[in-house]
Amino acid sequence: MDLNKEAQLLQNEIRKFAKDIIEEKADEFDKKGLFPLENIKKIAEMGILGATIPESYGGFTLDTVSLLVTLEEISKVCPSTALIIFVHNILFSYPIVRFGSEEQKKKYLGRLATGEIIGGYAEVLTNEISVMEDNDSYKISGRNHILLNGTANGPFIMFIESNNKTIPLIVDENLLGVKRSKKDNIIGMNASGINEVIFDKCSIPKSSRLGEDSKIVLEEIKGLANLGLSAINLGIAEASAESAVKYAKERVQFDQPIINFGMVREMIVDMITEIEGMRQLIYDAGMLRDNNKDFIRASAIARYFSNQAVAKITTNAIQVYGGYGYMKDYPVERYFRDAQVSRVLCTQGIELKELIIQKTI
Amino acid sequence: MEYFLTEEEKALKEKVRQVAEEVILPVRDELDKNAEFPRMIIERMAKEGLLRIFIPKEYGGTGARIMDMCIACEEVARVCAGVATAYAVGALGSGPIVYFASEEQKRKYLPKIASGELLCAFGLTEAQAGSDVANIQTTARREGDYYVLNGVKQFISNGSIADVYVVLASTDKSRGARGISAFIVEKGMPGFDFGKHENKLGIRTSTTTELVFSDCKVPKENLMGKEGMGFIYTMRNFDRARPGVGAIGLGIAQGAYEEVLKFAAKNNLLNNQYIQRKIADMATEIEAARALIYASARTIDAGILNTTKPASFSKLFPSDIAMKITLDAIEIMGPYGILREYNVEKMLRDAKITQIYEGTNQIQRGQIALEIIREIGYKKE
Repeated sequence: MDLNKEAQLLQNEIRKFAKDIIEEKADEFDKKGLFPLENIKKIAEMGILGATIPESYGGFTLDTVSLLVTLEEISKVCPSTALIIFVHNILFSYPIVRFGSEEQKKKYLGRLATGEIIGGYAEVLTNEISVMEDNDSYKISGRNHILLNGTANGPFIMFIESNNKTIPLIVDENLLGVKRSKKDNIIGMNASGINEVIFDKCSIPKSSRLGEDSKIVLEEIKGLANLGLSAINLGIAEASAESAVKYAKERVQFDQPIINFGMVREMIVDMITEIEGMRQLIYDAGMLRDNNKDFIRASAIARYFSNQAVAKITTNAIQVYGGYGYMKDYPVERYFRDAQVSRVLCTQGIELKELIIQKTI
Repeated sequence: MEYFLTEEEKALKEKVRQVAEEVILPVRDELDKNAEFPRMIIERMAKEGLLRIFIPKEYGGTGARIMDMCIACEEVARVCAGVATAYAVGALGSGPIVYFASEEQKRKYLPKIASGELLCAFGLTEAQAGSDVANIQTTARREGDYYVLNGVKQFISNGSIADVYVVLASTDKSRGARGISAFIVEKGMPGFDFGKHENKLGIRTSTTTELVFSDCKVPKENLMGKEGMGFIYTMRNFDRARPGVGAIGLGIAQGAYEEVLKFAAKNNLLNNQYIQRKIADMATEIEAARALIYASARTIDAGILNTTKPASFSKLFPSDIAMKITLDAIEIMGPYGILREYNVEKMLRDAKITQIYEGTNQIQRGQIALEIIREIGYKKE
C-alpha cells in the first residue's frame, strides 16, 4: 500500500511519537486503568484532536487516509489511546462538524480542537434507558453501561429512542442529573477511560438534538466509525503479529527457534495475509471517502473483515507465545483483550452484516 | 443427546452441577477479580467426595476413571474454568502416583489425596522446557540417602497451595529424555520454596507459581519408579489427563452457549437466522466435543495400550471449539459481551488457556500426526 507523501510524513511522525512517548507507559496505564491525560495533551499539541474540524473553527482537517494512519500507528502501541482519539474525533467532533447547528459548532469545536474538552460517546445500549418527551426537552432516566471517554468529563453524544425514532443528542458536561462512575469491569481498553453513566430524571433541551434526519446522521457517523475502528483493529493485529514473529525467532525449543516449525510459520502466514487484506480494504475505503465517493459499503466490509481477523490474530499471537502469552508480563494478552472491545463497538454483528447485504442487493 | 451414562455417572454429573451452582457460581466473579485460590470450594468438593474420583478404590477413591474426571471437569468448568483447573490438577498431580509409584508411596499419599487432606500438583514445565519437555534443566543428584534437587519449575498450577508435588528432574543429563526421573516432593522439605506468582489473562482463581529448588534434599524413597523413567511417566500421565483439559474446554463452551441462549431469548433474537446459524453451530460442536471426549475417556478406561491419539483428540477439538464459541458469544452479545456482568468475557479469557496447557494444540496435532505416520508404517526414503 503506497501512501502519498503527506500521509507518509505523518505516519513517520506519529510512529516516532508513539514509540518515544506512548509505548513506555501503555502497559502500566492498562494495568492501573489510568486515562493517559499527559499523552492526550501532547497529542492535542500535535493538532490531532482537531483532525476532523475545519480551520475556520480552530482545527486542521486531515484527509481520511491520514486520519486512519494516525489511528493505526497509535493503536499499534496503545489501542486505548487510539480509541480515545477515535471517539473524540470521529464519534463526537465529526458529527457536530457535519450535522451541528452554527450555535453548536461555535459552542464546541474550538475547545475540541485544542483539547480543552474531550468529546465522548455513549455506546448504544438503550435497554435500561427510559425517555419522556415534552415540548422542549427529553427527560431521561436509567443507565448506559458504556460511555466512551467518560473519565475525561467532556460532553458526549448519545442516541436515544423516543416515539420509535432514534434521536442523536449532545449531552453537556455539567448537565444536572448525569452521574458518571468508573467502570472496571470491561475486558479491555482499560486505559481508555470508559465510564458508566446514570441519568436521574435528566432533562436535555431539544436544542441539543443533532441534525434533522437521524437516519443520515447515523449512517454517516457509523460509516466513518467503521473505518476508524478497523484502523484500530489493524494496529492491534500488526502489534500482535510483530510480537509473535519476534518471539518465535527468539524462543528456542527442540534446539531451534520455534519460527522453524511449520505450525508456527502457518499461524504467522495467516496473520500477515489477513493484515494485508485488512490494510487494503481499510485504505481503499478511506480513499473512496477522500474522493467523495460512496464509502459506506466498503467501510462496512473493511470492518467486518477486520473484526474477524483481529479476533483470530490476537488469539494466535498468544498461541505462538504459549504459556508466556497467557501472562500479563507480555503484551499479547492485552492486545487480545483490547481487540474484543474494538471489534464490538458501534456497528457489528447482525447490524454490520445487514449493512453489507443491503448495500449489495 | 443420549450418551448412555451409567446411574453412577449420572449421579456424579448431577452432584457436581449442584455443587458448582451452589458454591462456585455466587463467588466466581470475586475469585476471578481477586485472583484468589478457591480454598473453601476445593474443601467443599473434597467433603462431597469429588476428589476421590481421581483415586483407585483400594486407596480410598472411587476408581480413577477418566470418564468420571471428564464428567466432573465439564460441570465445574461450565460455571468456572479457574476452579475446574485447580480441581483437575488434583488428577494431574496424583496420576503419576496412582500409576507409577510403589505400593508404599501409594499407601502413604493416595488415601489423603482422596479425602482432600493433601492437595497435589505436577511440576514439569521450566523456562526453557515448555513444549520441549525433555529439555528440563532441574537436576537431582544422588547423595547418600537423598537426592539433591536444584532448579526452577515454572507455571505450576496449584504451586504453593498443594502439599505434594510430583517433580521431574534430570538424574543423568547425558541421557537426555531418558535421564529424567520423577520425585515426590512435599511442601516444607528443606530447600523447596516458591517463586513468582503469575498474573494471568484468565483462570485467575487458579494459582500459578514457580517452584524453586535450591539444594533441596528429597529422601531417596521419594524417587518414583525407576531412575530415567520420568519422561515416559509424564507422557503417559498426560495421556490420562488431557481428556480432562478437553472437558474443561467443553464446560466453558457449554457455559457460554447457555449465556448466549439466555441473551438471545431476552432480546428477541431467536427467530433471527444469523443467530440461529450460530447457535445451531455451537450446539453441534458442543455435542461433537462431548461425544469425542466420552469416546476417548471410555477407550482409555477400557485399558487400551496406546492412548496417545484419543487423549490428543479429546484435548484438541474441545479446546478449539471453546475458543470459537466464546469468541462468537462476544460477537452475538456485542457491547454487552465485553462487560463482566454478562459472564462471557471471563469465559473467553478462560478458554484461551485450554489451547495451551498440558501441551499446546500444536503439540497435540504433532502427536496425532506422528501416531498416524507410525500406524501406516511410513518411513522416510
